[in-house]
Amino acid sequence: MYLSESLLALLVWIALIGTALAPLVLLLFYALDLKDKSLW
Amino acid sequence: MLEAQLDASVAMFILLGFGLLWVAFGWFLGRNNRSIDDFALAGRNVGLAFATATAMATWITSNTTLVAPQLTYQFGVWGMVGYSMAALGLLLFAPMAARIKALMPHGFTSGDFIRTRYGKSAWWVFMLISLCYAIGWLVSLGMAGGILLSSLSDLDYHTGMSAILLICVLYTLLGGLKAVIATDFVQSLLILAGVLIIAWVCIDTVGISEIHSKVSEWQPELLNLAFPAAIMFLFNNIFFGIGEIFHSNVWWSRAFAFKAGIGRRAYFTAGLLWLPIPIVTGFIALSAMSLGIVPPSADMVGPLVAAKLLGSIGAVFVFVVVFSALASSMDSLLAATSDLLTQDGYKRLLRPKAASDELLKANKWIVVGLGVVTWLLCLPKMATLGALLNFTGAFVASTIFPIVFGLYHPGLTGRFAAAAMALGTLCSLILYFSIGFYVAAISSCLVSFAVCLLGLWLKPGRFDWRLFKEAKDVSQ
Repeated sequence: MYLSESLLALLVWIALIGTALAPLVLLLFYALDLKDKSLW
Repeated sequence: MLEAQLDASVAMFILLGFGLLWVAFGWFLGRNNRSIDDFALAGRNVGLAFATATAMATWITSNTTLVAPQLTYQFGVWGMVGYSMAALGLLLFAPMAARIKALMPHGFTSGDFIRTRYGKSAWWVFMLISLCYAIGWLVSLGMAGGILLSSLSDLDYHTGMSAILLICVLYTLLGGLKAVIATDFVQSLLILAGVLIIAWVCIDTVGISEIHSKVSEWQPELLNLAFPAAIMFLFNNIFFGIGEIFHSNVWWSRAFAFKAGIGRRAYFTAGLLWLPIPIVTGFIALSAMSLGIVPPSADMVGPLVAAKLLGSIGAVFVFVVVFSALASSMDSLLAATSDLLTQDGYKRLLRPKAASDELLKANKWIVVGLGVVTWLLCLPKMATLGALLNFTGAFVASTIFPIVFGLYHPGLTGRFAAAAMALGTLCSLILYFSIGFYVAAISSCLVSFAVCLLGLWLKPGRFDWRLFKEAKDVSQ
């Protein structure tokens, strides 16, 4: 049972989108903490 | 050296520039550290953004950027998927972080917990496992620094390894956990941006179709979903990742350092955000065949592919990304291990009445000492990164159930917890050498679980949770 090209592409694209979301989430949290003055 | 893109002077210039930047940042953040709580636990008041970033960045290590491609190159699709399963450790630790903070609001280290919950004998076994793991991880990070520079530039292994260690020791020493956490935030953004760009260039230049076709032609096993060793690796890695996180003071010290109510959310979000990263970094390795790259050792495949894809400017870029990944883990490990040695070694065994000032000084000396020991152990390049990392799996997975039962079940006694950790480690070391690394963590965890169940069945105890509240605050 071998991984097809389309499944490999699907796996890679989902992972890529997930990774792209990470910095956005971190920056959003930072902005919220900064606004609430609760960074530290 | 193969595929060198940077000459020694350029590599040295980048190293010095980045080193100075992080050290200055560390000094700036640590200038108001007055007590051991400030230095070791960032004042116990870390908010959600820094908490999430530090959990994620610490887990994105040289292993995510170097070993995930290595494992994909060796085990194919299961290598990258299996590596990403290490996110389960962060996800499962999320509720535990909340429990730890609630049980021990003034706690300091994972050693504090084991000693109060299980007593001295379990504490000795736990400390031995913890220190073997910490040194193994530190050495793998130091070696990764050397491998990175030798694969991307004319600098040799020893120069790269020494420089990265020196920089991390300096800024951890100056800034403590606050510097570690703040640099982790910046480093996580740099790493994520870098990984995304390299993956995008890989897809754009080579293409998923071409990669799939070349792998199918030359090494079809890498796409085989029923590759036995790879499936075994997948399960082994799940237990390994969980064991690493559940026992290590790197994660416990953060649970103590985060504001009340933050730990659960921060670890859970960090786990979700980390999950896809090894798939992206691992996928890059599959393009090695299309690019005609034959790495001299499997752990160099990631940097070599990235350098080939991005050219000489790209080599600078790759260097910054992997350097950030290395530093974000090395600083955390230096800080957490020095806390463990200060509180559980220096204070418990040598100077029980030491005041905060004395502990602060001792902690800083221990950071330096750890740096020196790691440097000495990294001098001979003893094993590949993957082999060294997986060797520690034999130790850490044995702590999973003693920790879980210790936090949630009053029945497990210290004697059985110690036996579970010791027997789990012993059995898995035998299997590591007789079968292979891919059975070490899973066997360690299963043997330890069996001993815990035996203890609960044969001689259940009745631990009083109030003992945690009564335990003297070790920072005072």
